[in-house]
Amino acid sequence: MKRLFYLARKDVAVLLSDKANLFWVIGFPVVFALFFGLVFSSTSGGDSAMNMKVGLVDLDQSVQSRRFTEDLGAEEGVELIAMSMDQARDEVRKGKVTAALILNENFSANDGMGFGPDASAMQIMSDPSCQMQTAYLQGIVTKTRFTGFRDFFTDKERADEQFQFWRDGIAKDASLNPLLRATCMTFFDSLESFTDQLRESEAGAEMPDDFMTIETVSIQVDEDGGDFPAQGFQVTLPQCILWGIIGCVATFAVSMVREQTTGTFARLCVGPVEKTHILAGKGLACFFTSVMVVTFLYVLAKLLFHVSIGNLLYFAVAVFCTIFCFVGIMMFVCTLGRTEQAVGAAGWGLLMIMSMLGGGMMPLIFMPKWMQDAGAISPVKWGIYAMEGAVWRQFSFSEMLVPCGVLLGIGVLFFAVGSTILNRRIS
Amino acid sequence: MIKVDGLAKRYKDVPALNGISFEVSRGQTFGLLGPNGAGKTTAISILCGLVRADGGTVALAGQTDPTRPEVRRVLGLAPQSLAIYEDLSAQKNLEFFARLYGYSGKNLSRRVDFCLDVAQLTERRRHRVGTFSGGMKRRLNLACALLHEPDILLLDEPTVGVDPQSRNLIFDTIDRLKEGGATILYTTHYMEEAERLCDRVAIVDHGLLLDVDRVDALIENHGGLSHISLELSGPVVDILQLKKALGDDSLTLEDQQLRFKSLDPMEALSQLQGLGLDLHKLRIDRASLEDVFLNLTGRRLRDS
Repeated sequence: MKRLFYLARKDVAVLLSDKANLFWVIGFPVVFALFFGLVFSSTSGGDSAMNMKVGLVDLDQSVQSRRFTEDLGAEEGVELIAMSMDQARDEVRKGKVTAALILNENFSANDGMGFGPDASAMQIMSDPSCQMQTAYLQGIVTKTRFTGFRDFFTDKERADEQFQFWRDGIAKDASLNPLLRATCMTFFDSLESFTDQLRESEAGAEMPDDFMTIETVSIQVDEDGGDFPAQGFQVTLPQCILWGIIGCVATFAVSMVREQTTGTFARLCVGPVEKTHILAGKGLACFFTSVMVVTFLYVLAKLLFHVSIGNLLYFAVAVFCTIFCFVGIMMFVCTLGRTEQAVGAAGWGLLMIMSMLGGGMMPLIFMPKWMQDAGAISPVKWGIYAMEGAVWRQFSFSEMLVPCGVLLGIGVLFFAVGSTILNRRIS
Repeated sequence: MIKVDGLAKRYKDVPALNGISFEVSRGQTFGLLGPNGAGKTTAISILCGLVRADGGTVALAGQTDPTRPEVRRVLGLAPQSLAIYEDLSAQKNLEFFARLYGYSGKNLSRRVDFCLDVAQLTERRRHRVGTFSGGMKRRLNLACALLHEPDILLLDEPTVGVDPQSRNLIFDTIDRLKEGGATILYTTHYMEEAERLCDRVAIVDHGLLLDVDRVDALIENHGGLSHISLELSGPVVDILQLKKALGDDSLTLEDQQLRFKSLDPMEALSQLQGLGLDLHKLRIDRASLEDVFLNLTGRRLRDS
């Protein structure tokens, strides 16, 4: 047992003596957590830092089109940039703007609020690779339309302006016979009278500004059971920890091959150490280092970002299971090649794929359904899920069992396969 | 102390060892001399249990299984590839390996100090091995094999790529180990090293052991004739007479320069003096292990 400890201690010392290794196991996860933590913090807070750039082509150049674009520009999350049609097409093609909104010449004639029968009065030119953002833009445009419609009933100046526009149109339309023209004028007089009355009534006065906004309810809760303050760093902590563990795994897998390519492995085998001890020592060192890295990241998150953990015991269990799983994966990764370069490349490749599928790079909710389903095969997903369960999902004991059980199972499987191949290779 | 009998090993279709046999007595330094790919490292790997032989047997200190703890306890290996951690200091390397052998406290310090002294790295003990020269690394590699005071030392080309100063230091270390009674198996493709260090040498090539004996016996049996070159200062006798006296038809005599070959140079010289020749300069190129290898394999060791 002492020898196992000496082997593990040596591996930790070797790892810590290399600054490049330190970056991958500590520096990179911290940078990752800082970056995405700040992104999530800014998006979940009041001021959005993620404005979508949208080109605006106003071919109508009417009072209505200007009012509509003013309303749309006031919406959070959209930054309108006026441009010509050709420029808009070019900018969308180059990906410099996410989409372009085109208000055609018939925009005001269509009704001026976007509810007219001619769908071509307003168009969205979009980048096919930004379907999600385009859908988001459509939602904001629709909201702006309804807001304009609401303003028609609540803002007298605006209503007068609109009625005048309609009346002028009727007066100028030579195709209307006098009877129909008189009927239309009477209808608008009645509608104007109705809107005036509505505006002065209690219902009209109480119409809220955010009548189109749907309130969101957070499922996060803190230790006291109260609503949890939106903490981006709390969301990114599990991912940050995962990256730390992945860094350890990749580094130790390479060091395992380095032992074989240099003569140290031969010397250890000739010494009074069993091959199984050497493998176990490497696994133990990887485990210890990962624990050290996770502890460091946790302390950093606690001190710098005041990240709270929902259930510390469950968090420790989740971290243990995740590290156990990835130590097993380390054993497998170091069999992917016979040189440091081969294992380094193949190992990072495999871990990257696991990370991509498992939501280690981008939250799973942004991925297509099939990819979310495929993520179930990635231990990264289960690791993040287990830690999230302890940090903010408030998992019960039985709910923790599933991800932790999966992680332990994957760990045992990879450890068995990896150590079998290694043993065979060494023999 | 070491007994190898009919050792055979193939790597897929490539034969590495074709049934080699030799014995090394206690306290003897035994050399395996051969070019790269001759099977020297494979033989060492089988001897220390790193590689399983396809056929034949090995015995170390009377034990046929080199992986047994009692065998490992008496076995020290300095592999051809450097078996040290470049990210650790020389002292940390030695301490780590010493702890694995069960050393602790004062014993550990004593052994580490001794090995640092042997490798002449005491002043650089706290420096990272990665900053060492090739020769210093080789010396440390050898020192690590001596930590647990093994009875049997397997040194696989311990001077590859080192500077002359480090090479001499390694030679001195091996001389000290020999004086201490260690049994050493030394592989090399440098004939000078085999001649200088080894009591007995086995010539290996393509997995075959061509001959094994003392160095002088090998030269005597396979080295062939010595090359003698003379510059005469006095009157020259008839060349036919010289050829007849020395028994060498290929003898040449040009501008007072006499060149011939002989099995026994000293005997030949006394014969020349008997003919009344006045010798001005003399050069004798004795047969070497290089000639032994050439005569046994048909090619030079350096060209292999």
